[in-house]
Amino acid sequence: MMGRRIAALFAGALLGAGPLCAQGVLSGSLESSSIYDVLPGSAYNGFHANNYLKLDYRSDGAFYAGVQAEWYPSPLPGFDPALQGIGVPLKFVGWEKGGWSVTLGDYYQQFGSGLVLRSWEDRDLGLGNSLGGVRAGADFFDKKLSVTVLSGVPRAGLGYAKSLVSGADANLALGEFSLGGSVVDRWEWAPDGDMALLLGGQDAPANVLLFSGRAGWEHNGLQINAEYVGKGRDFTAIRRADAGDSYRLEAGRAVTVDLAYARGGFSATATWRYLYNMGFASQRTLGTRSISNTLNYLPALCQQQTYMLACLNPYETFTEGENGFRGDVYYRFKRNTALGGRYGMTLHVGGSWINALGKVLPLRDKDYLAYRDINIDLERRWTSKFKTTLFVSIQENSPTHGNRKATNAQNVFVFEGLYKFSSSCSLRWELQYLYSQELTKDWMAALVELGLAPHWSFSLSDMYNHGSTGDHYWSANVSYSLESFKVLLAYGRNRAGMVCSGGVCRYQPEYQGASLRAQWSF
Amino acid sequence: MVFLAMKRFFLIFLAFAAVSCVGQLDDDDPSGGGGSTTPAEGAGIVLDFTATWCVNCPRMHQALEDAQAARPGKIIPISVHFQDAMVCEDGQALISHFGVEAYPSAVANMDATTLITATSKDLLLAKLDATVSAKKPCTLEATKADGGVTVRVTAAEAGAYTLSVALLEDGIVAAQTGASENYVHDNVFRGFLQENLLGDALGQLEAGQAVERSFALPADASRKLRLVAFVCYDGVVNATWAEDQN
Amino acid sequence: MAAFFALGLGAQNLPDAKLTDAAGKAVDARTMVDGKTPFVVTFWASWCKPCQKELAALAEIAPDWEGSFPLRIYAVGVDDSRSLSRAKALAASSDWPVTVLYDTNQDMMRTLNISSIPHVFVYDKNGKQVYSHTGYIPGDEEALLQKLLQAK
Repeated sequence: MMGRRIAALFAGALLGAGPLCAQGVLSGSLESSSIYDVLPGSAYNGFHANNYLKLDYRSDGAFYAGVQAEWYPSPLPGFDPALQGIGVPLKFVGWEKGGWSVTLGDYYQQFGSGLVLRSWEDRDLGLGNSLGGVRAGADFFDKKLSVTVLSGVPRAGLGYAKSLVSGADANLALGEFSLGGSVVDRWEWAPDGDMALLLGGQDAPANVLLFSGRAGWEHNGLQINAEYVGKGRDFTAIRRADAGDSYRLEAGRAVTVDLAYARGGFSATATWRYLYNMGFASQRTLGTRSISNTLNYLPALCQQQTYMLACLNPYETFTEGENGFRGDVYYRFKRNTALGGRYGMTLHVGGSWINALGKVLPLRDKDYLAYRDINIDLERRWTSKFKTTLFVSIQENSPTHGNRKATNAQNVFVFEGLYKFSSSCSLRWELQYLYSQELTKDWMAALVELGLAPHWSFSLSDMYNHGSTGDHYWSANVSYSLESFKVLLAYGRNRAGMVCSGGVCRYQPEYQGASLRAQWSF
Repeated sequence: MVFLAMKRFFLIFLAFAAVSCVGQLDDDDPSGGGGSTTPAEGAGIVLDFTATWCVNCPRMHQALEDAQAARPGKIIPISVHFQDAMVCEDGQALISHFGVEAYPSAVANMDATTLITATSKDLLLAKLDATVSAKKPCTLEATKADGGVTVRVTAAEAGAYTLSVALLEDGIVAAQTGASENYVHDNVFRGFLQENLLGDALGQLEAGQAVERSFALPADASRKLRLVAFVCYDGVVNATWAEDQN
Repeated sequence: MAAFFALGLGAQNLPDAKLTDAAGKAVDARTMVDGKTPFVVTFWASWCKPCQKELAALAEIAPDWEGSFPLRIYAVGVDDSRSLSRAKALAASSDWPVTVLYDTNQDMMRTLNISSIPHVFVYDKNGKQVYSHTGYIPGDEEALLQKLLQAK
């Protein structure tokens, strides 16, 4: 109700602003994802949908405004049930001219790499932690220095959380060097009785302060970036035996160093990231029920997988404490060379190794393996019509974060091919195999996709767990796209598992049935 | 709901086997009652969501023990296991109902708003205190006979109540991460006897009115199963009855 | 209501968004507009396989470009900071005939109301949008270059 009133107010402001500006453009997008679940015995049977409507107005001058309405008649399975209903979670007006900008209303912002503050939207995850308040930004010294200050209330469900986030960020670009720094404060004004109980009568601090310092250097194809983040004392669920094994207040910190080098057809990247007690919720008392209850970005350091069988058991960041390393190498074998063949070949090799910190593991006194993997993919074009990709991923995951030695290892092999019959007809297929002696043991999967450019695409896929349950998880899809309109209709059985996007994962319960996804940008 | 389907089967089976199956359970009460009973007035139910692979779960068990020591006889834990050897269908349904995602978790008196993941005696007691029923507690009596149990509920105040009867098992030895290889698991939830997960409806009762419900007990003498019955009003536990731990 | 008619529904001009180049220097999106030739803007990310297929396909047909004006393609990476260096590495070692820019705060993506990637636009010489397409099916790259030719 309140949301509708606000939307009407903004529509009025948009219309009112019209004559003030020479000309303006109204644009927007509409997105709807719905499912009709018929899985026998499931608690999710029936119709569910997530709908989003965004309207934007941009004038020729400095003014812009927008709203986003969301409607969840019944949120899709795996999404926060608290989203049920209809509301206008985003509404904003702003001015942007030269190097100056001011936004009033709800906005998204990232400071540095996101370790200290990141608010963003990811509809596949049902994540939206926009800040509602005010934000101002300015550039000085010919764009060498850019400064942003903000203050806002984080979004929770279709409304707001009971906390206020304020911050300032500055970035300085000096030729090959860059420097940056941020300060963020979260003020939670309502003391929480539960937390006070756990802390033995002491209240958790109302203000938690974080800061970040960053530096970067770029020279001749080599880039180095480093960031240090400190988090103030806050209630933590980590109990350390060396600290009395009780709930208490504890500070947090993170360090990350990023290296990248590129020359000719060769490039390499390496990242080291250390995290300790870096969870930063929008509102402590909302718990972990909602994926949007976060103010920073702690993505899993390892490679994000896209092939069906490589995504069965993804790793999620252990925010309590982890120390991880990741490296990737890319090489392009040029055309008409011995290995490159007539059309060329590209090779990518990458791996990661992440340890859980011993001091946060009750059963360990030193760091232990949480996750490691190696990924190799080789892509080669054989003729003007035919291209293949070979992919191997060997993953080892410790389900107890290193508390116990037992790990689950999975070896995934994928063969993908693409054949173009003509400029408008192509066929793509994937054959996948997963070999494992743990969990659900062996799997095999296949996918076939027929593309009729520019509008149609049809695909059929199946994942078969022949090593354990004998279940088939199959899917038949049809998609149609016209300009900026796209619709995807699918029917199948989807396995319960984790859906990951950008290193952040959401649990997706098993469902079987039809699903429809439509997107239109106008 | 295999367990509840079995109940119907047993009712028919026992009708024929009544003569030969008297005293199937370990109870040796000749009067036909169900062992020594503890009305445990004012006792609260704590659902303890736990697992053998969960490293912090022993801390929750310890917190429960500390809470029980602070209030003897006033706390009835029910340990619902997840993805280990002690799971049951009704337990999985409870996990889905309460939306439990982290282990250990606890719920006081079936009230979903009390879902906690912190392992603290003080917090458990605070949650139990916060979930006092809106109605005066009913009186519960349970008598076991002929492989079945009959529960009699007498309402103290008018209202619509529901009845749940849980089966718990004690003394299972299994490795527990965060504790030991020979950890003794007690209060292991084995399922409900009533049809409805959140309690069979007893209908609108007047003050002083009593109703009875009968349930058949599983005919498995090899396991030490213990009964816990509770009445809920508006989804929150109103009164409890528990068989003594042997 | 009269104000409404002053508004044009749909196709936006290229917004005035802040992007960074591969070296990390700030670049204004409007600098893509040169007043003489149309150009393509495509949004991609290192974790988006169809995006990379689209860019690789463009790389393959770029040598056959028959327009009277140079082929200008801007690939805006919307990788979050986590995979930014990987995106840069991928771009650097590929032979995509594109100028790679980065939209690290994803502001431009939101301003253009992009719901999913890949999403490709064709702008005329003044930065007015003449074509928008979402998704990639092998063969789309040819339709895209056709639209670019027509935009002159």
